[in-house]
Amino acid sequence: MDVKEGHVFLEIRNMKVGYGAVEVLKGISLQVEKGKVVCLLGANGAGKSTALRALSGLVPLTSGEVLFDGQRIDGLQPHHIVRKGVIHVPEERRLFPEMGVQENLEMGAYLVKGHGKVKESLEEVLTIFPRLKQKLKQQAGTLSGGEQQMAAIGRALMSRPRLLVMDEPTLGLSPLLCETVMESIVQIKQRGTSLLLSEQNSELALDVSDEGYIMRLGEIVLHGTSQQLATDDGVRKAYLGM
Amino acid sequence: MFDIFIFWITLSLNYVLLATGLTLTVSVMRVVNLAHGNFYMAGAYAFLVFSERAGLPYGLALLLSVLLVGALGMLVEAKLYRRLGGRIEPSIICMSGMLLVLEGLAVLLFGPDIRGLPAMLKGTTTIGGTVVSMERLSVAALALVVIAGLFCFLKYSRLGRSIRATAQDREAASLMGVNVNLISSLSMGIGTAMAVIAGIQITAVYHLSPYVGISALCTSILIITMGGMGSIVGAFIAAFIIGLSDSFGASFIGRYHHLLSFGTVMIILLFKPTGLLGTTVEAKGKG
Amino acid sequence: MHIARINSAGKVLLAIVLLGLLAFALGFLPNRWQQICIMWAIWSTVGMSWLVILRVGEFSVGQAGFLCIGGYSAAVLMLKFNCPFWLALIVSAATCAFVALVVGVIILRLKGLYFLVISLVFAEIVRLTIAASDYLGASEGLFGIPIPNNLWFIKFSTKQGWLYLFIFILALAGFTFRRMEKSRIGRIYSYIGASPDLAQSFGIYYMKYRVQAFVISAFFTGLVGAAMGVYLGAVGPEGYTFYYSLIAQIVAILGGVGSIVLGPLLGSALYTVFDEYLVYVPGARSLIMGGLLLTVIFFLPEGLVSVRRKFLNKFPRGFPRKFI
Repeated sequence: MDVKEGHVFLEIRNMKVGYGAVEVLKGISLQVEKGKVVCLLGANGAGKSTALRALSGLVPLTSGEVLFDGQRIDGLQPHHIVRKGVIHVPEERRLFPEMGVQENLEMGAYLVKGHGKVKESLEEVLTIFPRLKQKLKQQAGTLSGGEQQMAAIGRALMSRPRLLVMDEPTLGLSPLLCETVMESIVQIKQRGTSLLLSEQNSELALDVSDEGYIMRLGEIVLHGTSQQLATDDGVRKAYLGM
Repeated sequence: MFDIFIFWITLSLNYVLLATGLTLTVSVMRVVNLAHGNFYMAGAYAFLVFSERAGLPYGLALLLSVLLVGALGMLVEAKLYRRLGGRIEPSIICMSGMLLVLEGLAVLLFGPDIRGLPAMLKGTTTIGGTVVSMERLSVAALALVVIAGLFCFLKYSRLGRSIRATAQDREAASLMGVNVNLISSLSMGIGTAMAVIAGIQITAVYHLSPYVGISALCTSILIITMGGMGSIVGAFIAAFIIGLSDSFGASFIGRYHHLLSFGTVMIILLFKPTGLLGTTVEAKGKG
Repeated sequence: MHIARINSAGKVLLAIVLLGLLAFALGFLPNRWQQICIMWAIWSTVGMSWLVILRVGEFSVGQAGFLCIGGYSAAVLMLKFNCPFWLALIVSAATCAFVALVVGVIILRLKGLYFLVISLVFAEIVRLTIAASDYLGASEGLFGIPIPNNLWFIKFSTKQGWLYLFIFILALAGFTFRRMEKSRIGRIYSYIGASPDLAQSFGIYYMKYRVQAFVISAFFTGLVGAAMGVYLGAVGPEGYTFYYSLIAQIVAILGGVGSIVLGPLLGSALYTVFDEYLVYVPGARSLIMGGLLLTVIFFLPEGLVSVRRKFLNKFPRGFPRKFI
């Protein structure tokens, strides 16, 4: 954990993924530096989700490498990658619908040893998402979309991730709730966690991130600091639809 | 009358064991283990060998057969089933093959004849002035203890919780750091172990032959379809309903009671195709 | 290839003549081999009927139920009503189709695992209910079914006559299924098999076709079941166990489910030859068949049909594949 700020934390080198004859990712490379928030932008179907799923071991790579903290993690099973501290908040939340919110959160701390630590994490999550406090006993399947997203992020935070990977955290949320989620991302960053998030809502994502990559049809077409991407009119018109 | 009542309770509790075992594997593996009934049969034969041929005491023989056949179940999951990638058709064929292999082995090793199994306790006792056989009482008590144990395990232990998580969303569970492959093997092992306990108990009341597996399979299938696949509470309720037909039904309407069970399940499915407490297995499996 | 130029009616005619000659020739085999051929024809037909249900996407494990209903109907008609054999065959098959219609309307609302397990339970309940009925001979079953009168040149007092009958049924089923698969219905079935919801969005009322496939399958299974019951001269509940349902699955899978006619023909040939030698050793049959299923599913998932392709792929390019 003695990695200095600015050090490359996660590196994806020429990652290719295909389902049968269809190549979904045509060799993408990206880097996340320690303590930074990096966003992956692009339209629906650009391959953002696939990239994140491959990174977490849910989809096998056809070729390429994934390095986390200097070690290769491609080819590992998802639960081994989780052990390294890369935690993935999947698209559409994917809470355990028949468990209560508290149990979902505790499930997030599956690998954390010690009752005290779990309690501590729970307290922390509840300070970031105070709204979950009243919902702890409620079944996750019955929560509203926004609450589900908070619970999903909270669940991921329970294991004290070193790198948090979020897939479309604002999907299907109202503008107000999108703001709430983005605020929580800022808070998570302040705690020193690095973040990689995919988003279709580029305006919001560029707002909270340090760097951005733009994907199109399975390739990375642009990379720059968030400020550059957000202010360049050409980029905005061509890729971000703003 | 009271006699049949006790029989109903005894039988139903063991049906709960049998069906919970199957529903556990269905919810984690998403395929019905057609060999479930034959694991039940294999367990009863293993018990026969341990208790009669090796002369071990009842408890030890029970434990050994549960461990042995449970381990066999885990092995089948890890070495055969998992290689099929969760596709339904090949998995069903694989399980059918396993069913035939177990049945064939039983016939080759023990012959096709009907046998009896020793009971846990002998003699009778009186409850409220009625004579009850100790055999049935002990069978009911054992089943109750195992059910309660399983329930607590699933509800409160870390491993039990990860089994439930895997059943509800396999991928999300793997993202929590759960080794889902291990959980699959484990569920299959536990499910098989439950079938073995039920097998030893039920065949002691009825009889044992290499062909009892199919009727056990049918009973457990009726129960889990009625209760809703993957629902343990549903299986519990349905087991008592099917048990009703196989105890009271068998006494009062005779040999047609199977039709009664089937009819009841048909009627329930007509109104609720996913069973009493079930959500759809398929929908949860996606993603 | 010259055959390809002949029009389809001519092709059918040619096939009928060839098959007829082949069947005629089979009639002069030694008795034991005639017996094997009869079982081959029976299980081929059952396997094909099973595949029809698979075409609409459902995996049935209840074919024994229809064999049982067919066999018992024929036995009752001939024993208790002195019904002529050919009429008993048709009525039995129709009975099966009717039962399939009534049961199918309910159980085909279920899909996937639910349908699979309920079809299994259905067959077992049919068997147990028949075993409970004293009118149907309870656990003893019905026996002493009379040998049918001669039909034209077919003598049912010899194996030869039965062989011709079963080959005829097989041919009838084969041609029907082949035609179905090549026609519009075949395409509709494959859409439904791929995704019922998608089919529905194209305006296909899939329930109708699912029930239709189930009924057709039951009709042919019942027909062959009725003929088999009369051929054996007895029907008993012990005969129609789950194992019969598995045989349907075994022959189709051994042969390869991709081909509705060729697959079951090949699979059934392998099965019947094995069976003929294994049936006398209790337990060995189940063991070997189970082992065979496991072997196929892990090493030859597309069945025997794919052996030809695998074999062909070893030849250099340009080899005239059509000849093999």
